[in-house]
Amino acid sequence: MTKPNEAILSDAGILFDKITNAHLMHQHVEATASDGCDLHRLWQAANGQADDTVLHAISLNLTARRQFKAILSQKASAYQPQQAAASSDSNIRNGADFDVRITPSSSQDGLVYVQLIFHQQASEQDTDKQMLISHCHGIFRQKPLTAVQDQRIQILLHHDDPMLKDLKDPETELYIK
Amino acid sequence: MTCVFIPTTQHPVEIISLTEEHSDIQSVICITNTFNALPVSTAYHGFVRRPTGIIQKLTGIPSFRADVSGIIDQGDSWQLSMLIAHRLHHHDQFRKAHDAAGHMAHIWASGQVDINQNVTPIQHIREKFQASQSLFDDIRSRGDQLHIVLHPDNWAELQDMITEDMICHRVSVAADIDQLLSDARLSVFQPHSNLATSRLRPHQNISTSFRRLFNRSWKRRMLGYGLTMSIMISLQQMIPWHPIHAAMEMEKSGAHVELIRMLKSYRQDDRFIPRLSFLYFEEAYLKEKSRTLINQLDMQLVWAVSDDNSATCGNAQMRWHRYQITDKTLPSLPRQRCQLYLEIQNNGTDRLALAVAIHAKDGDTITPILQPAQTELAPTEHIRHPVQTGDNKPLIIMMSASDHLTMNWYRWFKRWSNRPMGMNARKSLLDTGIGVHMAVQDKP
Repeated sequence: MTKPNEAILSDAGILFDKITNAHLMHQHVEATASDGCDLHRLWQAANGQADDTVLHAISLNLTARRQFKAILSQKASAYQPQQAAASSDSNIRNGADFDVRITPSSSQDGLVYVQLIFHQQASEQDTDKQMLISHCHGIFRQKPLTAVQDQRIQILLHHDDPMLKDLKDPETELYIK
Repeated sequence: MTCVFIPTTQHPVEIISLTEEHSDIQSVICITNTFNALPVSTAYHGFVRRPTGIIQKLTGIPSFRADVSGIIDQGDSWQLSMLIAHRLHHHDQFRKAHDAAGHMAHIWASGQVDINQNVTPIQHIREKFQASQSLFDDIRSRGDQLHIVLHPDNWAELQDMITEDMICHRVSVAADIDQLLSDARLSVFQPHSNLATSRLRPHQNISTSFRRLFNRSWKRRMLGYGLTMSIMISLQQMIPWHPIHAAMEMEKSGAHVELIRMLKSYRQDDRFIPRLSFLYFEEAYLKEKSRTLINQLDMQLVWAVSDDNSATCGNAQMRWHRYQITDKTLPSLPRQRCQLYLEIQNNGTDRLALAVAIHAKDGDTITPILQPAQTELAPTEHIRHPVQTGDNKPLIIMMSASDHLTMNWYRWFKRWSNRPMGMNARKSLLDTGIGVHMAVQDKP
């Protein structure tokens, strides 16, 4: 996608934010992509208001994927890019906005703790964090988040959860909305 | 087996397991086998971890995962059940002890608990009790024991619903919880028919009657105060003010040997009032000073375990744990720990002289690990003693504190250190206003 197109999409995202009647807007926006992944749906997904089926549909559509990434980069309150090189410890990811720590439960029953540790003070950052969205090899996944406590959010995953594999993959980009 | 239930207005929720987690993990309550964290997990984290948490204070472990059988939506009434479960878990009694006949003890507890283990009553207790009827029926049909644990106010609300076969514990302070745990652990091995006798302990009967007597009317209380005042006024003429003042001066100047001689002479005095006055002086001034001095010290056991729970130490990934020594017992420590320290900080405003000794206990044999040593600590200053325990024996930590750096009391400390269970030297320290604390491990 060319730079001007990205800029147009960014403006579109900001415009959607400012319009309170999203349903009305939806009626005026034509679908821009196939598989029902129009801008309104992408905008909803980027706000954490879409289910896993919609994210799957976006992952399968190249255009929708690019548009979704562009909207996400505008909407996300925190972002962690791909890791520069494969870390020696795949259970730790460091980033400018937040770090990720993956710790299996000591009961060894498959439960894994994922902690997102924010670098900014809680008062300075947007405390209304709803969703963690990962993007790895063209596939988007999401997990709902709990409240920030002591500058960190902790979620519980099963060790077979695909999101966990994404978090350990240095190719993965992470967005928090 | 000892099971603990958290009553809710919908259904009773059983605490299935407690798992010690890495210290970085925020404590969490999950529904078992689902990995879903309950909304009360945030409050549970605060309940476990210092500075607000009681569980880390009691066990030294800062993070737990609790698996429960059902949903707990809101409120703090789960705290009493969780505290009981954690204390049983700490003593290796949670869902483990069982008798030969397979009888179980079920603890049904509800109440809010503060950091000092004071219990406060909760709301909707009748609804919770009603919602647990099928559980109670089930327990009855199996012939198991049922312990109902509540604040006295909640107990009063339920009086008409409680049946004879329920063993009731009214808890409002830490001592009540200690008693309950002792009952729950021991009674599981007793025949079921004996339990009715433990419904109300004799000392509770006496104290309850005493309380009722004095609650009857304020006039009776006022009469009591007036009578006490008039007796005090008439007796004050007989109180030996000058010798008590001299004793205070001896304590202030560090003349402990002379002080103890004077105390001994007044203990043997034939006159009742002077003897009583000195007894009060010892309790209210000297022993209070002793307690204050010890309370000024922040004593902590600090240990590290390797991150992967292996015996290998020295890597960068070590987990550090702390336990604040506040009472006479020390927690069991992990066998595969890497390092162990005793840290003592002076939190007071005055310079303190401090004496410390550490021993390992093997039956009646006491082996010194850290020989007695006296040192001085300025305000906010701290010392750290490495504790080298080669073989796994229970530890005894002994310390004394005073605002006088003299040999008088240090001699007594050394004598006490040679015989930690002996009372004479320890009593001399306590009697002369020297802070004394001894903490002992039950299990290494």
